Amino acid sequence: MTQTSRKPIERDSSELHSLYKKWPDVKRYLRSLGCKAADAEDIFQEALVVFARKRTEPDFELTVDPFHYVKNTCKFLWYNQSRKESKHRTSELSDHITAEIDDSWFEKEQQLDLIEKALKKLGEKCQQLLQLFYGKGWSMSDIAKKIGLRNDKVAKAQKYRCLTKAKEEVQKLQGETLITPKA
Amino acid sequence: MQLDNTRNIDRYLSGELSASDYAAFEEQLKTNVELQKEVELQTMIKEAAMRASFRADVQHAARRYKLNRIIKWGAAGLGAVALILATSLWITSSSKKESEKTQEAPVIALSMMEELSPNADFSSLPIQYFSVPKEGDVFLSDQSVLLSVPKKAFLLKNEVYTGEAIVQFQEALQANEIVKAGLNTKSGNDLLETQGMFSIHAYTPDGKKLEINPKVGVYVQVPVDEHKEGMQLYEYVDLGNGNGDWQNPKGLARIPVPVNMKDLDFYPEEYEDQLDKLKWKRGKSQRDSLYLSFENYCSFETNNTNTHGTSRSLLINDPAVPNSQPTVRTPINRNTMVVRFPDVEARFPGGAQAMKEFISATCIYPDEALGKGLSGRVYVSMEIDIYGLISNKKIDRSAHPILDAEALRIINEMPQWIPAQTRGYAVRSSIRLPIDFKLDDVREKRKGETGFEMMLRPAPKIKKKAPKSAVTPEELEVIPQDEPEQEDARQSLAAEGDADSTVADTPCSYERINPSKVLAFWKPEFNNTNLATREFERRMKAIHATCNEDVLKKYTSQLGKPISEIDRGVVNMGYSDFGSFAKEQVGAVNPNNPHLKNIKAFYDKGVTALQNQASKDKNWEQQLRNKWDQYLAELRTAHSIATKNQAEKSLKEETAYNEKRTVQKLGLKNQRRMNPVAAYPQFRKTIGFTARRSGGYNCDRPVNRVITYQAALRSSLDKETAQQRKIERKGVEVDVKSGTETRETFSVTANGRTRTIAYNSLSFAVSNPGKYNKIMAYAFPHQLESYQLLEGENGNFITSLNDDIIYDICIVGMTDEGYEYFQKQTLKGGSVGAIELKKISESKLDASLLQMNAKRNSKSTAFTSELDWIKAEKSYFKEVDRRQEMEEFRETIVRSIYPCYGYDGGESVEITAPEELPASIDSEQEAAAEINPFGI
Repeated sequence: MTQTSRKPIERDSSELHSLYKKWPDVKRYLRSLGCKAADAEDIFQEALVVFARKRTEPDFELTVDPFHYVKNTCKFLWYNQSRKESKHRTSELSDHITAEIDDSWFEKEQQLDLIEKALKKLGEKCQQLLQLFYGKGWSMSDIAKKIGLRNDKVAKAQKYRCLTKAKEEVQKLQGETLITPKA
Repeated sequence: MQLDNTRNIDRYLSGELSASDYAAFEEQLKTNVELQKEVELQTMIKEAAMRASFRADVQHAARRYKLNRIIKWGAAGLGAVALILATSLWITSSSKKESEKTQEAPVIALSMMEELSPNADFSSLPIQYFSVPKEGDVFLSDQSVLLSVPKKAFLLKNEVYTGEAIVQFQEALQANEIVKAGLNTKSGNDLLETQGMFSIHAYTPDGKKLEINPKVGVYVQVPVDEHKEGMQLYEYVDLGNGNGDWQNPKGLARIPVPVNMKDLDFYPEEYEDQLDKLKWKRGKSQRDSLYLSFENYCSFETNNTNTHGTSRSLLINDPAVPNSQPTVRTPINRNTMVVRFPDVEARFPGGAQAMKEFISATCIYPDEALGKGLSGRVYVSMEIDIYGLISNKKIDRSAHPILDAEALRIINEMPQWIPAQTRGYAVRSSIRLPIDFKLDDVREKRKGETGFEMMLRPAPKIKKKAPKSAVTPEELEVIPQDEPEQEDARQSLAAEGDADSTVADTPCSYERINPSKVLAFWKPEFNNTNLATREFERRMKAIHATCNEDVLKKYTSQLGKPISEIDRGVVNMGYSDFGSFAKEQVGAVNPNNPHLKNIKAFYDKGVTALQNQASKDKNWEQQLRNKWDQYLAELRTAHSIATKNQAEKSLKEETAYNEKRTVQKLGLKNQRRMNPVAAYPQFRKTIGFTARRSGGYNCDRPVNRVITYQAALRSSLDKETAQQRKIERKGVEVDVKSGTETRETFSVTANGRTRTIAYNSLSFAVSNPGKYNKIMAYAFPHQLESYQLLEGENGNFITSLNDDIIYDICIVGMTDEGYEYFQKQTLKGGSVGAIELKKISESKLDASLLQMNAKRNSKSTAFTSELDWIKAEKSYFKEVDRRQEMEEFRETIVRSIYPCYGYDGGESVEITAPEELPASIDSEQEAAAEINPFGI
């Protein structure tokens, strides 16, 4: 993909809004699965992120109602989480679930989570830049305008700087998480 | 370096490198593990950035969502409600405070919230806001409390407010929240155990305070783990010092917990108990279908006026208080109780025409009456019991003692009737028959038919001699001539007895809740409605007791309404018993269920379908019965014809036998050559010829030559003597014939000798005749081919036996359990006395009877069809008993189904009838009685 061919990814935020309105339903659903109220919203948002991301994938075809997709994703996420936490283990459920869950996907998700955390440690401008470029597919010049840089070249250079910084942060965080269990 | 590296990798990943650089990079990547990791990491970062961007979107949506909710509500007023120990409440009012803000919803939301929030009752609790569109909506709070706001739920300055509204809602469900929020948990000085405290207020989008419309209300449903007894709704009263108190406790609507329909019991209270007591089948489907079979159940007693005087007076004194004790009526025995107006009148087998023929065939115009020229019409009244047997016959209106006696005798001769029916069950009924004795031209018409008529009487018991010329000039006027159309109707009735006897579907007038109305909602389709609750189950029992379908309809037609509201409606209908239900404050299940409308239609459809089913079943059963009855009627008709033929044959044979013996004894025997051809001695000699050519030969001669030959033979006798004997023989024949008909000892004198043919009377009585449904006695004369079915009454049989003939006697008694049997061989008359019948199996009975019939002589008439008839009669009694049992069973059950059964209007209407009736037995009544006897 070249930069010139990039097009801003059309995203309809209204879909997310309407999905969010279903939050009480999802909450009840998650609680019925044994999820704590505090975790429920995280899971719901995570599921929405997954959905939004999937939506942009060219080969993703939505075969069910978006709400159901989200609800199901919530279920998977919750099972994953509870599996991780070994809290929600019932023989019946786990048997049933393992069949459905691809572990590598889950691991990658976890890694992504970690990187996301690291990104959060970046400055606001860095985050915005990276999100706009990679997330929304904006062109460098647009981004430059948006965040008040002189031109696209500057923006680009800034991007590399941000990336490098991000890598450092990730490595830092990875070191911590590796150490934490030991400690 | 780091930065360059990053740039290179990024350019590589973004496809910005030139072809050569790209290849070089690839090359490097293959060997450099560090670089591989870097690339991987950077890819991940790319993805993570992307994700972060999505997450930002989601969070944006979340913020908007929350903001929206915040916006939606505006500020709160001051009413607060604590749900003390409550499950859910039906808030009908709540106080409010004015708040004057004129800002636009979303933008101003936050500021407006800020304006409104201080108005909230519980400053320490989080406030939730919901915006309500005009048409109302349902919300779920953070703690899953359901708020249902219908349209027109609010009042603005005492006018119904129809615009959008903002609801401010606060909740504290858990004890710790309540304590943290510093909420009062006392009412005055009494400690309260709370299951939740709430505050609810409403505002217009511009912040004007709204009141809750007490007529509509906002429905609040609170999830609780258990229903605690005594939970009440308290109102918050601000004491002004920042504290409030809980006051004015009110009953709370409990939301009934939906229960699966199949676990509920909507039968009338005593129905299942009653069935269990009777050890009836347990299956729900069987009990349902039994229950449904009582749809529009009418008792045959409904028309009956001469029973239950006591219950009727009770009815009058005790106007239909639905719950008062069900009934004083005793179980009826249909065989002792006369039904005055049965659905189908009792009728003579074969119908009116057959009866007419029977009477004219049976009637012997008494000599004396003939001599005195007596004639007239005798009215005989009698009862036909459920088996079709005639009893209690008496002269209703006499013409002359002699004619009366003959009329009674005719009735005695009658075969079993087909009993009257009410709703498919045989019942005892009474009949009034007019029998006409007319002397007129009938005499001419009947001349010469006497013999025939005599033979129609199977076992003549009449003492007086019927003179040969004593014609029987009677005629039965069954049908008044002036009503031809009715005659047609009657005849068609006689022809196909079942056509009109299908159950009359006239609904009976007593108040009741028909099963279809109940079964129609007792289905899984009604799960999760008001009806599928324990609360309604209890009400249903009480609804049954009201016997009023309108009460049930209130509940079934208002599925969205809180149950207790309907309870109150029922109280207003006059059923004060429902007051206690109303006090329970039971709410509605799923009041906003959009399917309620469909469910209602479904209910109506279900009722109709069930009604059709019920009447179909009823008709089906009726048809089965009719078929059975018809089969029996046909068989009986056939049997009565066969019996007549048998009697006729028997008499003929006996006459022939007597004649033969007499002629022999009187020395007239040689002369009896009835058939000259038969007398021709065969094979005594041989004839022979020689065949001289090929071809056909015939040994023959003209017939007239035989006669010549016979004549020649006879001419060898004294022609005079022959003539003389012939005349004497004729005389003997006539004497024997008439003598035999009387079945009394008689003498014949001829040829200078006297021959006496003796008849001995034979009498025997079956002991304990009451235990038999029917007793039949057969005589098998050894010397005759036919058998005789003896006539008897109540187990007493009197008949006369020919002294020249040896008889075997068989007696068959039918009881409910089976057959009992007695046989005695080689009888010659006398009194046998009491006879004890012994039990016998059906197959043995068959064998015994067939053996008795067959062994007496080689040409005895086949007895098998008689056996068939015996069995049909037996099964008839079984069938009648079965029907009666069924009827009694239903009579027992119906009381548990319809508590008001017996309090019907129909019966009370007739209360006056019995008093009027005796007085008005005048011509009109009589005419009606005459028209009716044949079952119209």
